[in-house]
Amino acid sequence: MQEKIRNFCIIAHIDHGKSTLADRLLEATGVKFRVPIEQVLDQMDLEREKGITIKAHPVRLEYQAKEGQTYILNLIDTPGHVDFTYEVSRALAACEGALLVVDSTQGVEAQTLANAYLAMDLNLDLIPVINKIDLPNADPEKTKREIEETLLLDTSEAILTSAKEGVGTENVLEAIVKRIRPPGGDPNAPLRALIFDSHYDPYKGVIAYVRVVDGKVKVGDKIKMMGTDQVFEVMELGYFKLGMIPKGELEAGEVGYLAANIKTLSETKVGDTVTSATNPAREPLPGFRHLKPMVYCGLYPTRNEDFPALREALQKLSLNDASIVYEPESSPALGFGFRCGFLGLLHMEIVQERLEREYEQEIVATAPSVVYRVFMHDGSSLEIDNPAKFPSPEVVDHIEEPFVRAIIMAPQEFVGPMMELAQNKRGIFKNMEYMEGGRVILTYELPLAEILLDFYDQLKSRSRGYASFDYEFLEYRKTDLVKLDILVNGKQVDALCYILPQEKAYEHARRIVSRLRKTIPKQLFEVIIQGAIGSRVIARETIKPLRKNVLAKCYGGDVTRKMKLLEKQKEGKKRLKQVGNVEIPQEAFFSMLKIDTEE
Amino acid sequence: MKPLSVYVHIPFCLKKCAYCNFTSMEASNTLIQEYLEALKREIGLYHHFLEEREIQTVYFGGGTPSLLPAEELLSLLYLILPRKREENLEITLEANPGTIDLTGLRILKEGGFNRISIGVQSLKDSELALLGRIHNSFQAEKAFQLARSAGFKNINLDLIFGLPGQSLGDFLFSLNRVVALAPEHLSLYCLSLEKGTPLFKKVKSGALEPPQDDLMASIYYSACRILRANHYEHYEISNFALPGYRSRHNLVYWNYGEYIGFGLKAVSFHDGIRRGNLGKIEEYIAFLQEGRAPIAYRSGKRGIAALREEAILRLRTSDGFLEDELRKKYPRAFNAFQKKLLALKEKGLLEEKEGRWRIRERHFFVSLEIMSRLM
Repeated sequence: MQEKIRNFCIIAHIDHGKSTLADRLLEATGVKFRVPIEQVLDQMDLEREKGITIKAHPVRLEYQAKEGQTYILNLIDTPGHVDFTYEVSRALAACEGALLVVDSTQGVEAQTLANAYLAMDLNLDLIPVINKIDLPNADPEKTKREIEETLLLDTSEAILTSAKEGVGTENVLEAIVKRIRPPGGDPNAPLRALIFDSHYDPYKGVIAYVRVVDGKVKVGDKIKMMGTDQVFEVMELGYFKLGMIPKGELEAGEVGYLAANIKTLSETKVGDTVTSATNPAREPLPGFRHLKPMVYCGLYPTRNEDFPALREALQKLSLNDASIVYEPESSPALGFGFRCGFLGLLHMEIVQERLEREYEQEIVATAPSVVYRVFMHDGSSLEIDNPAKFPSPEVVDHIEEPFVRAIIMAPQEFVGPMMELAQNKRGIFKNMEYMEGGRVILTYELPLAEILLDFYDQLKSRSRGYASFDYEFLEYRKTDLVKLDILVNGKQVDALCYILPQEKAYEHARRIVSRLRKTIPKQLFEVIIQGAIGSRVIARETIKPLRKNVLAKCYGGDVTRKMKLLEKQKEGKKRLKQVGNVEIPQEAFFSMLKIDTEE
Repeated sequence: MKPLSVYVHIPFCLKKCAYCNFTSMEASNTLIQEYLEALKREIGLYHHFLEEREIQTVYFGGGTPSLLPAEELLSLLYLILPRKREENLEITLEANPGTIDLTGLRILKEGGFNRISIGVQSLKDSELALLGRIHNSFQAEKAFQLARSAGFKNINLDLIFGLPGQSLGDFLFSLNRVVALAPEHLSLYCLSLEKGTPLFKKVKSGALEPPQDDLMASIYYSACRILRANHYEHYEISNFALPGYRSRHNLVYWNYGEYIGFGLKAVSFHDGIRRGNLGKIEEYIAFLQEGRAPIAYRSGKRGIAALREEAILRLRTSDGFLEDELRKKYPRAFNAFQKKLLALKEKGLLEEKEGRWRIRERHFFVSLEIMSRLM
């Protein structure tokens, strides 16, 4: 049985044609599309728009090879972004091989490398696929050389494809059968199945996507999650075509799904091992981690009265995305909202967009923050995900912040600007490699906080779009950070405070304070805006009092016009947030939060 | 009989001023004649209504009513007041320097007009030119003297401040000369740049510096000090009067009193209804030629909306309003409104003494900011 199974995934940089290739494989193996749509695996609109796959989605293909045998090919699609590295690694762990798709007009990119490294770490059989060879500027030979140089992979048997035109699909299928090893594993050992993804079904509860590594599982079996020790009874098993196809049993080597009346996604953690409750395996499969959010931000409804609706939307959303965490918080400046944690920036962006589009919530997000570790003089420590909650500087001994290892790939002429950018962002240079064809791979260690705000945009603008970028979490490191408070007439504005390195504090404080001076409307009294570290004021601006707002002439006939004018002014006052005695328009906050740190 | 004030609009000017967006135009004699015809018909439509009311004040505004021959103005006045009424009526004519002469003024005075409001605007010729006025400072002062000679004992002068490029000194020059004339009443308007006017376009294009708010505020409050020292009472945001000479007509507007307006785009407010006349002169004339009332809209406010409007209008005056009076008039709405009043008192933005609420003089120039918090 195992001899006839091949478990594989496709890894690629964004837009190198992963989804299109997957579509071709499905077509070629007779998976009938209910609707003739492009790229059937990307279910969400958002995925299609962003050109990435958020949810890994396995499909079982049946393929009759040229030698006559029929094979079961399990295609496990992987999320295409750095934020989901762990999910990618679990999806890869469910496979024995991977197609490494590289766009022959672009060559190797940062994510190509990051994903290939992951696959190599897991000892997968890699098949280089050179895609988009139909395009006039395709350069398959150069792409091959880049793969050889950067990944030390033999490309003599690389497959040339044009997924768009359907060229080379057959060769890909043959290579999967011939060059990817069949799954190992012992069908008679106690059950061990890897959960590599899950989704929530309103009728069946959580559907766990599993790869059975050892043993077998049948409907009715009592199973146990080794990470959480929770026990369930299997209600349904099966595999995926485009939908779910029930099957009474799954055994070693197979990929499928499992439903066991599991109520919440947090009970089926990605990376966990399913075993038998009656005959448990001794050791779980390696690599299980509790995923912790890396990036936090506050999400607030634009209208305070929409708070319950936002709560409901977050509840629903988290049913299908266990990696979101959220808890209510309130801000004097923004009212009631939620502190939400995400795997990374893109994840945050996706959640915000889904809230807005699928759940029709009008939300405002505060500036994202990483999780800081704050060590106190008294030996205690705190994890802080909201700058406003930082303890006062007197009690803080030191602070640690998360660092990432970043790969930047760019044409040689942009190396200068890339280095400058990384330098500005407190990057620590690690390595530089030249590739044939004039491109350079830069490796940097960077504080995660520095890439939260505008790193990606800057990277793209400074390289005219040619640079690509990927990162992975490295470790927590001690750095010289301070908390910058913004005070308006002596009152701290919680939503505007900021954690940043000492050496950037002055400049940033000046920028924020001057920006605020321009966005806060004049009040009937003088307003003093200050940037302060602890009790030390490092920047200050004054807004002179409003001295004129009058309707000079008021005829009888002007009454209507006057009332309209007042009505308009009142509308403007509605969205004002009171901080101390100062009224600050909400827009001012949000424009501040988008402040460009390099401006 | 219930009191009533009457406004008559004469929308014609020799030349439209550079800052003006009022209903006024440079018109041919034929059009003027047709308009006056229509105006008389409109007054005629309300003949009975006028009979039923005790008319307190009549005000001819514009435009430039003083463009019309004195006889024409008097014939309009007599249509409104067909029979001799009580002596102490206030009957005002708006006049522009350069459109009046002694003979005409005497006829008007004889005929019943007892108050004249002269659009002096400035006594600096360069400023008058910038404003696009047809007169110069000499004519302006002369107009005042003509009115005095004709026997007018209640004269208002209009001044404008906040012109592009105007300094505090520039304004004080005009103000001091005006004060030296000792008019009974002074209106001090701060220039507002209205979209579409030539002055607005000049500022927008960068040819002229826009006036600065801080400077305007300095000018305003300097004027307040000077006028107080000269015994003028600052009885409304833009208006100053010697004791006993407040404009009764304008007080009717601010105190939510009843008035009827005749003429193009004129507004009426009585019996709880506000209505406005048509604003296109051809339509106005055509309606009246068919004997129809030339009304463009009617609206009525009740409860909290009416209370708000009345309170806000009254707050333009130094007398503000009496809490008891409004509470009696709006028993159900007042309590909710009072909360807002108290919040503003708390912040020092409204003053309340013995049940009388008002905006302090030092807050007059930001009064809109305060009023908007009462909405």
